[in-house]
Amino acid sequence: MNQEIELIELEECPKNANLVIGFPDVGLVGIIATSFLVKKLEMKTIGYMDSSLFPPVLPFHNNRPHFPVRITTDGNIVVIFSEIAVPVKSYGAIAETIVEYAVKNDVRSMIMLGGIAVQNRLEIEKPSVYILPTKKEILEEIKLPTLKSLDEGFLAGIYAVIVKEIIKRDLKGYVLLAESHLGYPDPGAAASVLEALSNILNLDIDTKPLLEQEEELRLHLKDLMKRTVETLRSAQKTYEQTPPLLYR
Amino acid sequence: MEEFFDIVRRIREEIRRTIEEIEEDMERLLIRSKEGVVEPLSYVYESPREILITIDLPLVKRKEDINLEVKEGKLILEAGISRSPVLNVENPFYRRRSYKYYRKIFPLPDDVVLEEIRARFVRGVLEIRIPRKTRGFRVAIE
Repeated sequence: MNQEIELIELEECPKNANLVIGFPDVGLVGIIATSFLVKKLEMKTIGYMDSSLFPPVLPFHNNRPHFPVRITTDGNIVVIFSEIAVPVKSYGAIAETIVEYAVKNDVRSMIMLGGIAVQNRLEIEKPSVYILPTKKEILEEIKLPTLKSLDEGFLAGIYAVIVKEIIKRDLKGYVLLAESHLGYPDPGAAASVLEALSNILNLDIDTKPLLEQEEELRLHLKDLMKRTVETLRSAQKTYEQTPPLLYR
Repeated sequence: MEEFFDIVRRIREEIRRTIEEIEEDMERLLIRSKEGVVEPLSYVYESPREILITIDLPLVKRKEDINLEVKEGKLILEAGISRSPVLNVENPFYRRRSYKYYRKIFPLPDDVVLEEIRARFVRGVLEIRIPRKTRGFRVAIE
C-alpha cells in the first residue's frame, strides 16, 4: 500500500464490481455526476482515503463530519469520489492506491467521469460524450454508438495519472468526458456523462432533477470550482488544448 | 544588541499589519455575506484584437436584470438573483446561504474602444467583448 495515502476500509468492497471515479476537474463534471449517482442509488460509505498531502479541511453534512475522499457502494457499483480539489503532488499516490484497491477487489473496469473543455459550450444544447479506453476491446464490449472517440490529443490531470497506472498493470479502464465549460460548474455536462454511464452499465438513472437544479448547483459549487481551477493550472490542464506529435 | 531589537520591532510591526489585514478581510466578507452580495465566477481572455470577459450568472433570469456600466475606467457588473436557491436534490455541497445579487468590477486598460463594447447573455453566462484600439495590420512584403 502506498505510504502517502491511507485507505481505510469500513466494510468489505463487493467483488467484480465496476469502479466509478469522480474527482473535481473541468466543469466539476466528475464530482457532480458521481455525487448525484451516490445519492440516487442510495449508496453507503464503505471506506475513505486520507493523506497528510490533502488540505486540512473536513466537510460536514447533516451535522456529521465526513472524509472528503470517500468510497461508497450499492452492492453492484463502487464509487470513489472527492469533495475537495486534491493537490497535484498527491496524484501519483492516489492513483496507485485506487488501482491497488481495484486489483485487490477484482474490479471489472475503472470508469473515470469528467469533462473536456470546449470553447463553444454556450452554443451546445446537449453536450456530447467522448470515451478514452485503455484497451481496444473495451469499445467492442460497450457498443454505444453515441460515444465519440478522442483520436489525438493529451489527457491531463489526475485521470491521466490513474490511466497510466491502469495501463502499467494491464487492467481495463476508460475515461468518459462530456463537453463542458472549463471554469464554470457544468451540471448539464454531468447529466450527459451520467446518461452515457447509465447506458453502458444498464442503470436506471433519471438525470432530470440534476438539470432542473442546474442553476442552484452552479451557484453552490462556485467556490469549489474556483479552488479546482487553481489546482488545474498546476496540473498543466492546458495541455489538453495542445495537439500531440504527428509521428509516433 | 540594538540590531537585535530592530529585528524584533520589525517582526512585531509585520505581525500587527498582517493581523490588521486579516481583520479587514473578515469584516469585508461579513458585510458582503450580510448584504447577500456574491462575486460571480469570471474569466478574462486577452488577445491583441479584443478582451473577452465571461461571467457565470446562474439564477439570473433575464438580461434586463443585469446592469453593466463603464465608469472611471472600470466595467461594473451588477445582476439580481431571481430567487433564493433551494436544492431539492440532496447534495453533499449544499450550504444554506442568502444570495441577493452579483457584483464584480473589472479594471479596463486604456487601449479599449468603450463605444464598441458588446455583450450577450446565453444560458446564464454573460459574454462581453471589448475591442482594442490598436489593431494589427498586414505588412506588405516587397
